[in-house]
Amino acid sequence: MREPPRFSVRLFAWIARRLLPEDFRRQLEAPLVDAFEDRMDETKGRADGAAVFLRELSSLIATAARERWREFGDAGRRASGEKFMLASVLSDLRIGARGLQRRQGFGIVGITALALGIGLNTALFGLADSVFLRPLPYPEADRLTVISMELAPAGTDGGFSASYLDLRDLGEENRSFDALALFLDWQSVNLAGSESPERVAVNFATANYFALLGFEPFLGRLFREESRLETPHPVAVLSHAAWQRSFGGAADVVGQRVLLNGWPFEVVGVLSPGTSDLGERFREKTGVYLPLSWARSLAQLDLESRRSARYVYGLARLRPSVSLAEARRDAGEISARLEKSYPDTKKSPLN
Amino acid sequence: MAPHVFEILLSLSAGERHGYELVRDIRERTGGVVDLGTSTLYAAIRRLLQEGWVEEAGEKPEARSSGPPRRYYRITPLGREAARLEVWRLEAAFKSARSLLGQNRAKGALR
Repeated sequence: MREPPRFSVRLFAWIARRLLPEDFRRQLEAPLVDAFEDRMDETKGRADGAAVFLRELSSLIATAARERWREFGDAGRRASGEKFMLASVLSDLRIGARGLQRRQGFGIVGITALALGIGLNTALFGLADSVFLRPLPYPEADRLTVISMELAPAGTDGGFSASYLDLRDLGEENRSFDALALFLDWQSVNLAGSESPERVAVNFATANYFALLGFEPFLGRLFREESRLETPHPVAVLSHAAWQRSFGGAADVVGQRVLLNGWPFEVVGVLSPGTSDLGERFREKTGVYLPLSWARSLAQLDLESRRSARYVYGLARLRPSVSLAEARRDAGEISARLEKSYPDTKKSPLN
Repeated sequence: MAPHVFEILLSLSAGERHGYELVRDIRERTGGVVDLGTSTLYAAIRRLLQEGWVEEAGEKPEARSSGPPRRYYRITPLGREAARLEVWRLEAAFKSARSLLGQNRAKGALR
């Protein structure tokens, strides 16, 4: 027979009962205390018994705190019925609260975002940054909307990039937008051909993207309209900062050839200083803009072959007479029509 | 995968063990580098049970002590696969690190 538990074991069990969440205790309290007793038995006759006990105790307290936090998060997720982690919701709230604190009285919605559920659902998702933090530096920003895709169930998981083909159809069939641009903010690439090679973040965009955001060229020109993706011309527009950094502000940059991941592009323009690309507060600042058609070669993203290729976002300006709710209904109807016409899209959502 | 979770899976891949046997085995195998507290161990076991990487293998008397029977655990095929994937990832990381450090040494950056 084992001796009655020693004081250290009884103390450990007592603390465990008070600190650990009930689920954990029900499942594992007995084996945990047994294992602790085994560990203390091992220290019999050794001088490090107290040190081992203290280590076990601190491990117990840390574990209990972690398990409680996890349980708190699980409860939050169950209560909200959404997929988001509680931590993420709390973080959003903190960002929003800080923004409101900084800009009390600022109630204008700078930009709204419209989620287009292609083959799935349609709902709205909000850009807390734009709504709460700062007014967006774009003309008619209160009529701009970002179009993204949402994964079912509705209202829980928006903001995904969408299919180029679906967005193109939306552009042709909608009755709500003055203009619809497409963009694909991509990772950094190697920019060579300048003073010193560097990594720059790329945004692939259609020509009207610049007009919607009110971007003007500081030097040269911006992109010309392309109706489809089949006639790519290798041109690049540099951000003002990238031009300063990589070319030292050289005035003869327009017409120069640069290599982006080894692909030659002709610099046709430099943006005005102070232009801020969409979403730049959350990611690396865009250094170079390329025509959307170049996503195929440079990023190996084949946008046109199938509707399940979802890499692109839309940026649209609402017609003056159209409300966001009306635009959402319009987009929802088109989305439902596309879902009917292309039922296979739904089966392979993100490939 | 957290190192202690990987060690637990490795220990169990050699056979069924109860909680403190795992602590002892991991400590001996790693030369004392990984010395788990029993609470950390059981928090990990709880997670592994939930993930289906480990399952309970019943209670058996403990050979080395006269105490109550101990609850044993065994690795599941899913857990074995997870451990294999982790080995694969570590091998890739190891190769990449060795190649990078080797390159640097060639340039004289590391001696």
